[in-house]
Amino acid sequence: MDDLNMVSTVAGALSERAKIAVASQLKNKFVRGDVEIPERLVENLSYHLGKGETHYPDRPGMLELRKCIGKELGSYLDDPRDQNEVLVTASEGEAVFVTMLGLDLVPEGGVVAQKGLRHQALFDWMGIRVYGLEDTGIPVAYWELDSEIGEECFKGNVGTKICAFGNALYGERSEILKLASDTIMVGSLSSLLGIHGFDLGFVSAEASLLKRITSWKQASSICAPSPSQRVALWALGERP
Amino acid sequence: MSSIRKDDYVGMKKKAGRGAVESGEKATSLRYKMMDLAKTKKDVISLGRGDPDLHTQKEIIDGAMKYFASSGNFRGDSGEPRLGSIRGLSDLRTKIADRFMDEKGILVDPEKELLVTNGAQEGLFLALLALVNPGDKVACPDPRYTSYDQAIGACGGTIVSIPTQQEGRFFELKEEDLVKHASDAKLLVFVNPSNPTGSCATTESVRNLSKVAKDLGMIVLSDEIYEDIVFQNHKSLSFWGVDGARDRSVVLSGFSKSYAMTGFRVGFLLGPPAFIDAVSAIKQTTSGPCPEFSQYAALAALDMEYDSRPQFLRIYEERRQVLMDGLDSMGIPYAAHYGGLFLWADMTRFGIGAEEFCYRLLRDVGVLMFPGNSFGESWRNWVRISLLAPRKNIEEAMVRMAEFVEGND
Repeated sequence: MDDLNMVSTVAGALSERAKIAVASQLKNKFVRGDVEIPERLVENLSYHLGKGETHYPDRPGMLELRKCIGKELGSYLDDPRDQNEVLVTASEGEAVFVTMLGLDLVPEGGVVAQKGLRHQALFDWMGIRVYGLEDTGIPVAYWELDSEIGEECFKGNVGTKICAFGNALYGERSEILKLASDTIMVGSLSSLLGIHGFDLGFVSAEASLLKRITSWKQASSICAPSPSQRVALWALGERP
Repeated sequence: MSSIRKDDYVGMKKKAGRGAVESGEKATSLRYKMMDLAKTKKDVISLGRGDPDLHTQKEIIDGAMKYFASSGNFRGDSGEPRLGSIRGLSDLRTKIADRFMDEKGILVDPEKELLVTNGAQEGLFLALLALVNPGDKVACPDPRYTSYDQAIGACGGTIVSIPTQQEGRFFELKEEDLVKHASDAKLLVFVNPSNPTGSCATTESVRNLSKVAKDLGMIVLSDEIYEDIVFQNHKSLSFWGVDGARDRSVVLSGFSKSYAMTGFRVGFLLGPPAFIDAVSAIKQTTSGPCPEFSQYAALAALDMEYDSRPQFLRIYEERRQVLMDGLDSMGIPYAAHYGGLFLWADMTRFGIGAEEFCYRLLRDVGVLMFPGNSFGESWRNWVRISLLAPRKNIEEAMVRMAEFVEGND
């Protein structure tokens, strides 16, 4: 017991995935926007904070915000998504992270996707293999809405489909593609808010699957901040 | 990156982590089931959750609003958009470090030894991701806050429970139990004050644990989220306050509980520079920086001219007394309570198990408490009772509970 060589240090105890994260110098850029802050937004947020929105919101996200997101997602589907099919996250990155945990993928299973994904570093770090579009038999398809591919590009029996919206849900879009009704949707709300200090993301999936994803969101950071969600609601015109 | 091994996979399919994931999901879902049930009833007094009901101080809200005044600085001197710092605002990290020096005499390098997180929960998840490899054993006190379980499982780790119930009503994580039950664990999760038992380790006990962990070659993750909520002048010690422990431990804390500001989601991790580099890199890819608006609120909490913590503590102390008096009058034993926001009570005498007890208590008299088995499988006769309701509600809850007890004894 007295042999100092036996004594572990935190630096010496880092996990393999921690070393990979450091070695790969994962570098997502978090750029602050440059927008005018409307005075009414400041008033609205101040009012709600004063009314107690400094405490935990509903864990999956504020009900009205989930309703708004679900309704907007409906433009890509035949029907809007229900509020119980929407989870508010800290960012699109976190949305992808908890979705992958909730899907319970096998390590060798991986996803089939295009090259150069926005969240490639996350997939790599999680150890989720990304197969090329030419690969068949991969059960999960993942694509980005603003890329040139869509779900029709995937061959074979794809059971689970994930579409990453990036900023497209409330950003500029030239055309609205229809997605299959069971598509899992992840995205960011940053274009809506316009300012870095209030980044948010979302996941939308069928309710029972979303419940599993939500349990991982709760384990990873409980819920998205109340003030950020209030600002998102203000930006969406919900300004009580 | 192509050299990633299957064993590095972060997910639930790791056989070793499966048990921890399932136990965490089960425990969490039990608490949520009770909360969902409570929502269906009118006039429920909730003594369940850990969300402080006290008002967040106005100074904190005003401080957060100063974020907007800073928005003209969205572009740096060069005119290029400024990048948000994954480690947190420099001013906030400096203030946290200053607080550690002023209140605990602990030197923290804010640039290298501190990361601001999206609440303490994210800090916990990041720390475990950075320290636990598939197959590693993680020693946890029993009972425990089961939110640890899923994170440990995601890393492929397994939980080794260390019994903490001592003679009588005392709960304590003892060094001999650590040696007896978990000598081969890589990491010890130490929660002080404890959730759910309300025990609080003495300075001597923290030092002894640190020594034994060192002898065993074990790293310590010290969860100190309830550090400011300690009663009866009980004195404890941050793990980083133990001589020689800082290279072998990391500290987790945050603002949610001390300042009643859970909605802002601001926590932090202290650790050696290599650890902070690692958790920062992981956070960079799994979530992104903590919202700056929330960080302004945390900064304001540290800057308040009038420190609200002693006032909050007095309020909690009164409520705690009401609860203890109520349980005493019903003859219900509970764990010796020194800190944190929960009482841990033994309902064995009712002979129906904690889950049924909590269910009937909610159904019959509208009082919500959490069953003990949502804090560890073996606690089927205990319940966790929260201090986080106004005093008059707690008084009313005790009256209702007394009626319930009379009818069920």
